[in-house]
Amino acid sequence: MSSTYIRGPVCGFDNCPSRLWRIIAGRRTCQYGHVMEGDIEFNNDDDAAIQQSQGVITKRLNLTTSQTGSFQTNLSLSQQNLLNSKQSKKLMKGQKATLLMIKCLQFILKRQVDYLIQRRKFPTQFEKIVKFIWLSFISKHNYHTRKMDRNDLSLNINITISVIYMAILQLGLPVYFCDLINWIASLDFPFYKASNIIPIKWNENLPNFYLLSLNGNNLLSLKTFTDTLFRFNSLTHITKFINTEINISGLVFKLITLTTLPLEFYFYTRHLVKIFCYKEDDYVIPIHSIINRAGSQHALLPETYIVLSFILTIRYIFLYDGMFTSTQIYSNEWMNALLQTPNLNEEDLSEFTINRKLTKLLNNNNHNNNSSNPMDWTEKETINYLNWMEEKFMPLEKQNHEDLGKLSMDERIIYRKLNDIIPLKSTELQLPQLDRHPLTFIEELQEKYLKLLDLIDNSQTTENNTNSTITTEKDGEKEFNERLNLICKLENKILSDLSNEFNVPIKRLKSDLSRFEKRISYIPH
Amino acid sequence: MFELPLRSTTYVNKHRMRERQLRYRYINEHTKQYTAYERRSNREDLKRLKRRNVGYMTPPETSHGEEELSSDSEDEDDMKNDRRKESRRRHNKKRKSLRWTSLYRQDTEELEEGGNNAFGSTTPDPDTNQTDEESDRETADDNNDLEGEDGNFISGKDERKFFTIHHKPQQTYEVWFDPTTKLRTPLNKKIINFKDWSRVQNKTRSNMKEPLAQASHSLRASQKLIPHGLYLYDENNTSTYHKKPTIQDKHMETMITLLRHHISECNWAMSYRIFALLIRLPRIDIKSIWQYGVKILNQNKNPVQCLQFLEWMHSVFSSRKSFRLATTLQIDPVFRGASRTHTAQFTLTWLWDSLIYYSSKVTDEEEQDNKLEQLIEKLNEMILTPPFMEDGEIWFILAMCHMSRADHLSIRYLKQRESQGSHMRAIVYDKVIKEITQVIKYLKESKDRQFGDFVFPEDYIMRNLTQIELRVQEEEEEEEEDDDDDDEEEESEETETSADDKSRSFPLPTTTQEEQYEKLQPPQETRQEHMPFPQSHDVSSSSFQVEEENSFLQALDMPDYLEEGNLPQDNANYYTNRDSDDMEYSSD
Repeated sequence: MSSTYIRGPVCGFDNCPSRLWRIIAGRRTCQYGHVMEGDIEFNNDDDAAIQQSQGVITKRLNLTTSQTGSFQTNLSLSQQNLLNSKQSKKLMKGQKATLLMIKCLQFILKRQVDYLIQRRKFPTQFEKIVKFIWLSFISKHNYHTRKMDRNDLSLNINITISVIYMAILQLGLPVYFCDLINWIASLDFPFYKASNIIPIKWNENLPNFYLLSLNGNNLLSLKTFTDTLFRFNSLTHITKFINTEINISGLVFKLITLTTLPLEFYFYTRHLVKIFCYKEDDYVIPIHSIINRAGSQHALLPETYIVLSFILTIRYIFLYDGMFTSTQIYSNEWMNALLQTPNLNEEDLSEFTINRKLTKLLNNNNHNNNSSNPMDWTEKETINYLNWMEEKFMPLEKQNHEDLGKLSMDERIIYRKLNDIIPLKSTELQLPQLDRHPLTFIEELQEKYLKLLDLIDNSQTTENNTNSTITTEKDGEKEFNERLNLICKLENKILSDLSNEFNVPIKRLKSDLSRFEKRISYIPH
Repeated sequence: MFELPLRSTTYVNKHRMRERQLRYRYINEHTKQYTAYERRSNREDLKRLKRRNVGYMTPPETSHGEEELSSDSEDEDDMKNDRRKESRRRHNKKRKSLRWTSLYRQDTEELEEGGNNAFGSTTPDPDTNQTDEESDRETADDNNDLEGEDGNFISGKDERKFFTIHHKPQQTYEVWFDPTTKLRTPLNKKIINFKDWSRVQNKTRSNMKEPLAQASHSLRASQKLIPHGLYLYDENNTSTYHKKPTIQDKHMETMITLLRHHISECNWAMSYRIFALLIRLPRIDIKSIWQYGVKILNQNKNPVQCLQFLEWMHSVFSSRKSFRLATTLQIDPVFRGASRTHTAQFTLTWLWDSLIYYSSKVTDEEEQDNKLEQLIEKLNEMILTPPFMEDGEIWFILAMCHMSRADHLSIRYLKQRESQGSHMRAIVYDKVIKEITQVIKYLKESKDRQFGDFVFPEDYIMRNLTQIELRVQEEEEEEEEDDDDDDEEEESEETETSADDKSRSFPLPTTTQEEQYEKLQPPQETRQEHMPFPQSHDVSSSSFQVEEENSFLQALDMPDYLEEGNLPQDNANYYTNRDSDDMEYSSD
């Protein structure tokens, strides 16, 4: 028997102060003869089987001390599982779980409202209205019954968005679905990985099914948004009590700034919207919508009506331009200039545009030309993205991992070591530093329009040099075709831009547009 | 091919699994047919060559490969009759069992192949492979005849059921080398004509019919495209995601694309930053991207960081676990990790890199000694545990450690010879001899454990060992015998050689050393002295170890095999035993 002692944890049995251990007959025994419990381990290797065939069996005890000084055994998988299962969290079930889920949703909603009021400068009354709408939801939600109808609203993080949207409508704020998406994509707005925000105790008690639906893994698409919104309204009947007419002028103005069209289009669109959306309901969120699964529901949303009529306005204005007057207001060169996107200085992008870019990246509806390809990014763009990754994305990912105690002590040490070996900023391979002075939204808008003007000027000066040709009839026909072509291109560009903005597949937007055209043809004169 | 390096424990993508399985099956089938064709054509060439050269001496212009083959052909003639008999017997047997094989072949074959490539340890089976080309010709024809019968033999539904149950993950791995082609393949100079090529392709296609019968429409379409070097464009990315991509997926994908893009553009600063970020994300699987990391960290002027990273990999992802095919379905074992029977690639890279760094880049003598000592200790420890115990390459690295130590000792002695007395010479001599005996011992161990494509040039090493020994051995006699003038000359030359050593490896024999050598050695062996050093032979990516010898202490470029997909091919040129040829050249 070997008499070598190994330093380990304090024995503690009957206040035994011994820290030294030795092995007697396979049991870990302290200096004073107390046997440590549950620390016997044989190595069940494959080698044992081989040795058995030869008639010799050796069994060894693997004794190592871990970082904290306590003994660390190489437990087999089954043993580890046993240990883990003892510590497993107490999951709630049934009614209790649903109640807890509603609590969690309320908690997240509170955070979201705080964000909107503090960062986005929403009026303070906003909180009260959200509270009112949320109360109406709670009073109507029948969490005590187990039966779930097909048309019922499932508890989901999307509900909070519907509540916020309804509150925005009541206050008539110029905030729309596209803004909400942008904020979500920038990860500022508490939506992605929202399960991290809720208290850890709740997190432990909540069943996995609910935790997943709290995570907000996917970027909200217009379809799911409308779906939940309509379900929410049909459940709560909130539309009876609050204003549901959307702020048209704000949306039209937003669309114009997004597409950098001249401001007269604002009036054109306002005028045509009145004609196109002749029914009074068109500006109002429908009270009882027929919930169908065909997927064209978002066409019933007033926002989509206005977006569609905006596109149609552009088409008609360009088509009839020059038909009733001798000169065209919008020349071909002007349209060409509009087609080219003005290149802004990437260092000084406003927060708004950066968020838009992120949305574009996440938007997987359009694969062809519009979705941004990371291979085409410039260096500055990439650095910006990586910085964003470090500041916003990584903490969220890590938090999820570390706070919930998924990493053991050893794993944490291992990863800390790795982080020391490969620091985030290497001393030798260094990237150029960017000094960012982000513009405000208004400054950027100014710059956009100025650049557009420059483009137009350039194209006109080149045009003047070649403008000495005589026009014949054939040329006229050719010119007309050319113009049609240009109009189509412009419309496509605006369509794809807006489909990105609202997270709708471009195909669906196009089909909605054709349906809308049909609807217009029935307008009573 | 470019899957995301995410931890894929959460889901199993059935579509991707099937696709990979079919793709590698096709590739394996194709290489099999092609090697069969190659062997066949080699034999025909031999016959032609023999007919032409009856009664003549071999002309001096004949290339090295053909000469080698002509020596082999005699043995082959003797074997021919036996082999024919055997093949006939085998053929009959095969005919009988063909009905069954058509159904069960997929499994039995793949088991063999999977065993080869997953662990690279199965012993070559010469009997089956030698008769392959003959039986293949016949079976290819027979296959077509029997197909109709197979259809009646068992109904399609049952068959499908059978295949869905018996999915073998090994089928999704490509076979990277065929142990039978070892050492015997001549240089590939031939051009395949269109007829033969289409024949090879047709055979592969007919063999692929069977597994494709159960495949879905899209799989069949993608299979059709592979021979043309095309892939199906996956609009919704169903091969990477089984569901709608989440925000996390999208960002991961972007990061990986950025990493690959910037590495391909050699933008190291950017790729370092991306890599550092990626490592910190919990969902990323480091085992799948460590190659990128090594590539990036090697661009740093401080290679210690890279070694640290590799050491970290080695210590964290241990090879204690045995690789379970049943649970790890989707992952290739070869480059990701280690198992009881398989040394991890990062371990090997770490050992090679550290050996080369410590023996060539570290200038401080004491530090160098310490580091080499540490490395040897580490290796001695490793050799006691299972996967390394059976790996010839590890033993070889150990031998090389001792060799470089002997090299350094002898060179240091040469430099300080004047200031040291004769007793020092004895001590150094003893040390060097001790090291050399170690090298020989470990080389022998390594040779016993040789398998796969790991080959080393033994003769070259032995020659260099004698050089090292000579350096220490003869100085005394030199000093005693020669005049002062000669001594000075020698010193200057030797300092040159020692200066060269740092850049070149083992010194090529200088004139003085040759003379000494001739004086000492018996006359028969002087011929060896004129032998050209095997520097000029073609070094392909696979014979990395051979290259290692040539530029043993040279700065290590990233070995090609570390880059994803650039794996040792089986038709690569191995180091061939050149001595006999060289002898002939010298006699001419």
